[in-house]
Amino acid sequence: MSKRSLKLGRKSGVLPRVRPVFKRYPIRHKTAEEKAEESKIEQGFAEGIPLPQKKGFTFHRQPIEKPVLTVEERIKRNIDERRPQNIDESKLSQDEIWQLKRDDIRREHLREAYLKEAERLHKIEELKRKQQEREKKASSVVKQHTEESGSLTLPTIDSYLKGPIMRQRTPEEQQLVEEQRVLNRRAQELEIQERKMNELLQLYHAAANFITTEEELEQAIKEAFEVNVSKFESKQMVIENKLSGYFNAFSNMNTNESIVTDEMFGEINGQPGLNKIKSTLDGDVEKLRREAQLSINQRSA
Amino acid sequence: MSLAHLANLCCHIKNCTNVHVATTSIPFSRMHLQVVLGLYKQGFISSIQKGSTSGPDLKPVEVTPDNIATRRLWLGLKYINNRPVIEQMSLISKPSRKVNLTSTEVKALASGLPVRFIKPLQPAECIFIRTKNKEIVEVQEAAKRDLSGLALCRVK
Repeated sequence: MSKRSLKLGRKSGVLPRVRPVFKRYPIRHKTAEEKAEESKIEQGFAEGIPLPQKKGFTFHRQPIEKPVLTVEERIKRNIDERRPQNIDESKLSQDEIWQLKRDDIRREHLREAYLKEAERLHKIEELKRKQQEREKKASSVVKQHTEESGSLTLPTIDSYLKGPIMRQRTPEEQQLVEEQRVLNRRAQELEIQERKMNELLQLYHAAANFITTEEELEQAIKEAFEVNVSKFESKQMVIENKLSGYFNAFSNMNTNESIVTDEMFGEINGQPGLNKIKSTLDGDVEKLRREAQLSINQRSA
Repeated sequence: MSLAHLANLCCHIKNCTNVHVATTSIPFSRMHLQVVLGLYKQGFISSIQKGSTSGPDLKPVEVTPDNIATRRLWLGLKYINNRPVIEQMSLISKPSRKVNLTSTEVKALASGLPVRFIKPLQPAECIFIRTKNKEIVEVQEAAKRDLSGLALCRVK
């Protein structure tokens, strides 16, 4: 499909608006309702603004009412009175007679068109009037119903339903909430970072005992199987006991104790913990130690 | 507005009346409020109160996005001679089968005729209809006002 038809809504063309048969003047007098409605119409310039000077033209606040030209009058004026009178057809040529006949046919068509159009307009008006009546009736029923339902006893619930159910946050409240969210996210991120650091530190401390060379491996094997055999055997026994379900309180005591001390002093397996390392790196501990030493020296002196 | 929520409401109220509970709470939303108000106007329940999950409010509380999750509507259920007033409460439209009624169908339903698969209205039974402007009205009222809309649920 070509682009040319796009502007016409994909139609190949648009027919012009149908010209009204009764132009210029209305065919009936206005009803009381129409008059009442049109009396509100005002035109021209606002109050206090001087009118432009225009020769042979006067401004009217209210539109001037057009004279009524009924269908009968139109037929009389445009058709009947224009019909040529007293023609002697014997003097006319064939063509002229035919022309007269054609004009006659045209006049009849015009008369028919006038009558049909008047009928159509009448029908439309009748439909509009009926619709208006129906709407008026329905609205009066609704009004009556709302009055009857006596919503006076249920004012609060009806008032809830009228407005929004929930009050939205004010801009200040919204800002507060957003800041709280940011804070929560950062706190969470910090917690995760600290946990990771702790794990890394634990790994670092544990790495001190890792066997990395062949000599160390041989040394460890020798120690386990030749020098310190009893330790190996006791550990083996503990594991066997655990597997068989026998709970040995003494075997757990050491580990429990170490866990408690670690938590108390913020250490990892007896090694310095994250906080201690942090403060050492910051130089806080060193500063404190120096200050203490200084005060001790001053007192002794 | 969700028919699934309405289905939950129907089931909840039926469960409560089956075990003779005096008051119950439902989530606070416009649709729930409208349906419950309809039930109250028709005399199926004795009271409607705003409240939270812990109970009805003693002082009026504003509904905000911060407390909407805990806001509830507290309903007082009715019993006569040890029998619940609400015996049946079920959906007509389902999420998978919405029943839009024209105003003539609404009138037919209100005058006791069956409409499509909807069985005729029984004595002491109500059908709630949601109109185009999101109003929930009883079928008789809808017929009187010449309204059309979605058939929501029936209560007996």
